Amino acid sequence: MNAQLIQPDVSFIREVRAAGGSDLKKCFQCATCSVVCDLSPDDAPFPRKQMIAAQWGLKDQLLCDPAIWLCHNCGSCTTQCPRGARPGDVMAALRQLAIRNFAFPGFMGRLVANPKALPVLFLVPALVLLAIILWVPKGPATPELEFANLFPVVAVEALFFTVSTLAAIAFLVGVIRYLKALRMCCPGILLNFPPVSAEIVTHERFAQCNTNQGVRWGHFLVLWGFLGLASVGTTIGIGTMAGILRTPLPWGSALKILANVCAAGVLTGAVILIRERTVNQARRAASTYFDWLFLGTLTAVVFTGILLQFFRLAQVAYLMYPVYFVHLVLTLALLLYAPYSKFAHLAYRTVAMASTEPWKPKRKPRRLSEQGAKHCVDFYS
Amino acid sequence: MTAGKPILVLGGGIAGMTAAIEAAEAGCEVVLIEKAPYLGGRVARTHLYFPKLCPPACGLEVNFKRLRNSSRIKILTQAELVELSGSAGDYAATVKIAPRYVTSACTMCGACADLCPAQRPDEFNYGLSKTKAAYLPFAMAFPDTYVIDRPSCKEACTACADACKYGAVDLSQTERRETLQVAAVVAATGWAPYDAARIDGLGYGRFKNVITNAIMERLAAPNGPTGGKIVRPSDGKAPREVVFVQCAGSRDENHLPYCSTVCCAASLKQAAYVRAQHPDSKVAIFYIDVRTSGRLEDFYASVAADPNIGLIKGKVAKVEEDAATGDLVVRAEDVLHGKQIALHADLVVLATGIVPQTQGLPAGFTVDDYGFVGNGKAGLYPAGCARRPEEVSASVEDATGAALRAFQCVVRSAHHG
Amino acid sequence: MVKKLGVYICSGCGIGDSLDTEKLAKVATRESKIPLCKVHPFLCGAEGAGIIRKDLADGAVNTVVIAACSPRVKTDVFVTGQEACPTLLERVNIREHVAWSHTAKDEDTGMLAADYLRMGIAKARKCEPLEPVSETISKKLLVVGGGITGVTAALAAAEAGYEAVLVEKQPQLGGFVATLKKRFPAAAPYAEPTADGFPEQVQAATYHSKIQVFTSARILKTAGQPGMFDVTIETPAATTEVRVGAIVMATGWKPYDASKLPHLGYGVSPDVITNVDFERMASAGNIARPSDGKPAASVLFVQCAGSRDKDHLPYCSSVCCLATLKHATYIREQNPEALVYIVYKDMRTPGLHERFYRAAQDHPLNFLTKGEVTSVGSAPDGKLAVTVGQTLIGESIELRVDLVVLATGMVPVSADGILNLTYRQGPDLPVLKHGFPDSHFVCFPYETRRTGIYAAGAVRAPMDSVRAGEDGLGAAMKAIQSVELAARGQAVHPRAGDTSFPSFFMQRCTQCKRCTEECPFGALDEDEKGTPKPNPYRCRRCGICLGACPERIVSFKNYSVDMVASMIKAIEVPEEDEEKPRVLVFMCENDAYPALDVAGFQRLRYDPGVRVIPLRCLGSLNIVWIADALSRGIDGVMLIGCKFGDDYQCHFIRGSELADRRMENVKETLQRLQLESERLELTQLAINEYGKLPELINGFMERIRKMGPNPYKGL
Repeated sequence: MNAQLIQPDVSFIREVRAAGGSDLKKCFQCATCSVVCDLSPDDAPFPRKQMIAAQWGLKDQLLCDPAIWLCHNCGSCTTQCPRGARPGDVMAALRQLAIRNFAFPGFMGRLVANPKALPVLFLVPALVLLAIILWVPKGPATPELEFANLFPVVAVEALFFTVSTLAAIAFLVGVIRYLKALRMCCPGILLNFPPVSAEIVTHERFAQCNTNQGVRWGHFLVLWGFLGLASVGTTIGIGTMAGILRTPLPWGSALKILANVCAAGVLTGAVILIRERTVNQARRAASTYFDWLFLGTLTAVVFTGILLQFFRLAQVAYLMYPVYFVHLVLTLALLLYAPYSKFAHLAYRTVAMASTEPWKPKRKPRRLSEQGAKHCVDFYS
Repeated sequence: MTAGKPILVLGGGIAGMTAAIEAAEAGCEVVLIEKAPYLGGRVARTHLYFPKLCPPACGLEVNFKRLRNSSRIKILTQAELVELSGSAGDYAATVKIAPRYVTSACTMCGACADLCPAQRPDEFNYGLSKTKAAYLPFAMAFPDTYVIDRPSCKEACTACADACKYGAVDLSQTERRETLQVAAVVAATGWAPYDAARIDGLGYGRFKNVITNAIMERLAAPNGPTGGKIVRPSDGKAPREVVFVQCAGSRDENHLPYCSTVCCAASLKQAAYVRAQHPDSKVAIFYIDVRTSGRLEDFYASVAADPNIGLIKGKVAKVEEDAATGDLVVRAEDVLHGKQIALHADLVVLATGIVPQTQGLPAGFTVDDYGFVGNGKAGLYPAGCARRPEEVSASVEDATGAALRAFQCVVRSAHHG
Repeated sequence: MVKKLGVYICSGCGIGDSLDTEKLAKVATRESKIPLCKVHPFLCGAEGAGIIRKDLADGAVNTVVIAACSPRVKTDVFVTGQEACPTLLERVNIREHVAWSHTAKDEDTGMLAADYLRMGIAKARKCEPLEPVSETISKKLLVVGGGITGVTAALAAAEAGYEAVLVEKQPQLGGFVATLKKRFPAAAPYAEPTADGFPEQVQAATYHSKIQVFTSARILKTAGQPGMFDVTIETPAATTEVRVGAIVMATGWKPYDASKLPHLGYGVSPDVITNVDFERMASAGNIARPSDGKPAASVLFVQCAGSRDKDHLPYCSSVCCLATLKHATYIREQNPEALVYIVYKDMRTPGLHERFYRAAQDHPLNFLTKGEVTSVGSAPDGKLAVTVGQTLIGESIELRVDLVVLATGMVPVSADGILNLTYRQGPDLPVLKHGFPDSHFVCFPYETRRTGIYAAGAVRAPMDSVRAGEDGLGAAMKAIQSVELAARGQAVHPRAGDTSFPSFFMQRCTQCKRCTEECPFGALDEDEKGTPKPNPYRCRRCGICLGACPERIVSFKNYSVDMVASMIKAIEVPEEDEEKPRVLVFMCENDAYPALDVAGFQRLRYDPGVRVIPLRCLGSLNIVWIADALSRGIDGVMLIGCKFGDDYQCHFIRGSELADRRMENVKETLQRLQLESERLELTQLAINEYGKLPELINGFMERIRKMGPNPYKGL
């Protein structure tokens, strides 16, 4: 057999350590992590193998390893790791690095991951919006205070359409890069989409994950609430552009109700997840800038969205307009950076899940007497 | 040598006994105190030693004989050090001695136990069996004198005293204190097995057929609770598939952050017990690293050569029970093959580690971050497993060295005082 | 000395219920014509013991036979201690071996007790008071080897008031440890290698007033025995003879010869070095490739290079994993960016050293995997190409590195003319296994097969420097103890305190050399003709020489061929028609005998046709006893001794094995006499196998019954 030449990627090891996997070198390969993980498949257990691959800087192998996405980050492995090597954190770091690695354009990945760039991240949409306020001509003032008085609807919709398109392109390129890395052809993956979709609908794997059920429902609410909001937003956007709808929508409209329900869902879910990340000591320690950036932005988007609705209702101009501005900055940031932030796991995890078979149940126990005690290679066999 | 003050040895296990005997045969006076009513400590509860698979009683018998023949050793059992003051060469030690209720007139005829109406859990067998309240700790116990566990007696019962023809039972004994002038102290306070119930997921304390290696020693020993039969606690059946779980608590930041040194060889030894007793049995040993240093490697090689003993690299993180049958499923990753493994087992043995015992250790000794005893003030020397996790031979070496350190204090104090 | 025997029979502990003690007393008074025989219901009580003491004090008796419990118990009451009543006390075990293990009031039980009493009396009649040997004993110690073990041993002995002679072959003290850059962490938190205080210890030993140091020295000859070893030491300056009492052999280790490891690239490329080379390189301050002197930017450590390998060293060298982790930290000091690979079989960092493993492992550029290095060759870029199989990251991987370090193991320096003993059995300490010169490494790790000579440090077992230093302490303690016991004329372990000595009736010696060959401790030398030259202080009193001698010329005052023969003669052998077979059982008194005591304590029953004679060691069995027994009509002879072979349990190393070998000869004799060889059986029994004894004994009795009576009965 030809020996595989191994050349550790030293900078990758440093990146993993910097991205939250600082204890990775402590792992001594006992595989407690793989066993306590309820999602770890029988024939390709994780995260023990990923730990040693990361220790050895085997970047190419790791970034295309679907296993890093199969982990739902419950933290059991980290809690029970006898060495304090925190495998859960290492897996999270690997996911972050994967997003950064496949990012298009690449600099955006690095920018979003860099805490120092945080002001820039928000300054860019803020400046764009300021420019709209300053330079885009507004329509006639409405009797009631309306957001259109600050930002013309057309301008906002155009802006969001552009940003969404950019994000979609970035996502597409990222996913294609990922698929190339996976060396998988699309049809195979497509076949796996039904079970993946079912999983996304039910969040069944979160239930298997031996974490508390809060995370499952938190994530469920956030995901579905967000998708709901995104659909409503898109519908409204298209509707207004086509002239079918006019904002603000009346209170009783189905879309409005749906939007509020979804917003409430996201907010509830987000609170659950934030609580989980702050109250649970192990999780708090495991939470990185990368995690907080996404969760914080998303929560803030929904929170400001709800808030500004009230302010509009109360017709308080000095609250209503600034909050709207902030809301738009946050929403733009969320969308613009989606392919590079933790948001991107939506795409990568879906593809990863479709590219593998993570749903195999735990195999039935085998008997020593049936298979012989020497079935495993050991030093003296 | 010039006679000097005695050496005080704390602990009558293999380390303490060795320190006492080696110093005494060199001419020192020694006071050996032990909190149990018998000498031999953990070693006395061990079925066979690795790697020779020979009974500890063989070496203990020689040591007991040396103790009997030495007029220089004073042995106080059921005794604890309560206070120590002074400095090297000139310590004053106050020792508290609990009543044994049986005097040295005891002939070991056993009449007291025969007529005793009360029972007590036998701590020698980790509570797996019972003895009478009047009992001999084990057949070859030394001192060879019965003991009465008074708290276990029926109220105001004097059956044992009435039964004894030799006036050896004295129920009026009370706790007494003795102050000794000693030149040096050797602390050989030993170890206890790690409490396996604290390890989540391995099921000890919840599943009957999950036992510890300490209990396995008792099951295998002819003087144990089953008369030497290795059987499942749940139903008394012979186990056909036995799984050993290494590092149950050891090498674990959440439990014992050090390696207990002896458990790998101990499990190999116990695998050999199982195989010798049940020829149709199969054994799997799950490990992180097999640590059989020095000549123990030969032993590893010979045990591993048994086609019915398999060694699997991977730490067991979960044990599940079928409540109906008491059968177990052991889950680990077979690291060398990169597959999850779920093995059925009739009996699971947890290789629990060594926790240093420092109860009753006088101030002046240092205890490190991990609970092990370090060198203390001049004249205070630790030995054996209280000092570091180690096998019997290393404890004996350690204790012999500590005896010399103490001996130096005796010599110096004899010259100066 | 005119023997005045007194027989004291205890009827307590159920003895009186089982036996007719008055009838038993008549065995003493009527048969054996011993006027003084007393029966007491509680002989070990104050009153009972007082009677004996009084009779002794009054001069009514000077030799006491006590028929009561096992000689293993009540030793503080029936004092057999050397000072008080050295030889003239004989214990007859009618409790554990009779009353507790046989049917009460049964005729056979009574016969058994009577025989035991007869045997005890017979033995007591032959016993003579000990005449302790007393010579001028040197209490000076010789420490061979000036490494950490030897230096620690010499210093510790000196601090305890004993003079020491320290012999080192190198020009200066310190040994391997003195060449180390750093040592393994020795205290919490065990995270960093330490530079330590060993140089100060070396200084202290060099200038200590009680330590005489010989460097660049070797030992030409070691003659004599404990308490009086005469050692000839040669240095470039002079040849000196010193007299010492005991010896600590701390000759250390040498690295395994890496030239035997060409498959790991040693000798193939200069860039493949050993861990000892690496240590030297790091101490000198520059870790570089030997081939071109360039700094090593990547280093691969091969663990178990030669160790744990049946073709090289079958044992684990214990320290190499730690040494490699330490070496990894050396590399970090010089080049934080260097890549360090460690390929191990199992990481062995026992005890608190686990902390060091964790700390040393935790560097971004340390790469560890389990694996087997399958080849080391050159890569096109001038680096070394190392292929590793069965790794945790792939079935077969290749790594390119600047330097390969083989973690070679420790080979004990135990032979090759170290002590140059003038012993008949050779100049070196005999080894147990793999060149390690010990004898009972679990229970009594310092014991060797040469009395008064104790091995310590890496010569005794692979160990790190901290352990080696401590081992020096332990061995020094044993050496001190040995000279102190010698000064009192007492034996060392395992018969510590015994003051008996074998004497040799040389006129009858046929120079057959069996005793000099068989003594496990090499106590006997020989003259040119082959006559044994005893060295009493080397003797461990096992009596193996006594068993070996076909001329029966070896005897102790309290243990002799004649004594046992008279015990055999004292057994009453029933006539053939009585159908009461008799079997003589020779038992090791250290293990089998206590086991039979436990069987009695547990009231296990066995055939009362057996008559047990305890022996100091089964190796002291003289085959004449078997002939005596069979010629007297005894139907069979059982020998029960310790397990022998590689994992022997015999306290005297080879006793039971020698007895077994002698049996081969006896069986031939039996066949010549037309006696079934099955009338003789040797069994190996461990002390905890007391539960097997009844079955063992009964089974043999059964076979004897089937065979029928000994035809020599009544002849």
